[in-house]
Amino acid sequence: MKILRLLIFILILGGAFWLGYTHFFPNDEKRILKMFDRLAQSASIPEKKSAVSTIMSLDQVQSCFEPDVEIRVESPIESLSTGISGRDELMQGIQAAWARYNSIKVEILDVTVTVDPSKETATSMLTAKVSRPGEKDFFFQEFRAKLKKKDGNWRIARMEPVKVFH
Amino acid sequence: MYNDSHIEMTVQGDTEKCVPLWQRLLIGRRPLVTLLRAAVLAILLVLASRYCFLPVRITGISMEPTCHDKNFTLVSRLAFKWDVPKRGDIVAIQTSGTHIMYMKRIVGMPGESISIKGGVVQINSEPLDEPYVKYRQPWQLKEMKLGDDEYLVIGDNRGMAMEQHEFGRAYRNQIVGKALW
Repeated sequence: MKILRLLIFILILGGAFWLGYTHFFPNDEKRILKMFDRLAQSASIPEKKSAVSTIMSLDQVQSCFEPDVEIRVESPIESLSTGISGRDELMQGIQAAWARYNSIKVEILDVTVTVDPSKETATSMLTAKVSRPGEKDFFFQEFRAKLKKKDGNWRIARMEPVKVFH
Repeated sequence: MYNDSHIEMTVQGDTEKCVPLWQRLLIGRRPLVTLLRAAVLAILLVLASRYCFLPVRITGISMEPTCHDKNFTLVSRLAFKWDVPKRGDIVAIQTSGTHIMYMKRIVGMPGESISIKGGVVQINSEPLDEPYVKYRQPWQLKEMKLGDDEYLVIGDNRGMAMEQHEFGRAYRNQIVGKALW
């Protein structure tokens, strides 16, 4: 009985240690997932956003991208393909979107991460969903994102749309 | 002796009666049993929605008049576990996952040559009878041959402009399941 209790205690202790370790020292995949969560949160704008929080959000969004990031977005309805080159252009686009709409909700869904053997680059598949609170219609696009690690931080270097139908 | 047992029985009976109605309705007479039931039910629901049935809200008009915008349906993930997708099945096609999916009808099967002439789908140069298509625009699509693992999926609403209607070839592994209604 004593051995059983000891075993249970060791198991619980081991589990708690493992949970703590993975929380404070996440692996690359978890870091990338957290980065996408942060990006979705900071790119969303609630109805009443103060100037300070807007600046903080912009800073957060900026920290998720490489300075020379390349992003391509395809609009299925207008048959348009838009390209964004560089972080500055992206920030301008985001600010313009924020100015145009009172509130936007950005969600990054179904993220899968494949870290390259070098551990310095990674590829992610994800679906970005943009909606306006209170409206049921939304825009979505599946992306393939290339990420780079610099100083321990993962940043998006390239995002290109993925066609579901070919 | 007689008095004691009489008192005990009375107290027990009173305790059972004293459980307020709201408590009985909310957590039952035995909270632990209720908790256990709720946990089992929650686990079953999670398992069912993950591996058996996906609840889906339809957005858009590409499947009109079969599926209406903002309606709900269930997608069976088990439908193609032991069976292969068939022509005419309404299927859910995944994106990078299953949070957002396309709902389309299978029109072309692997290995077939498909084209659309004047809004009519041609399979191996034979027109396909599609009773579910109520509105038709004169869509044109050049002939293409589907691969061994490819299906051609299109929505039922052919009254839309072809450029506004997302359709095309999907691999078998992109098909998540079959819509139940």
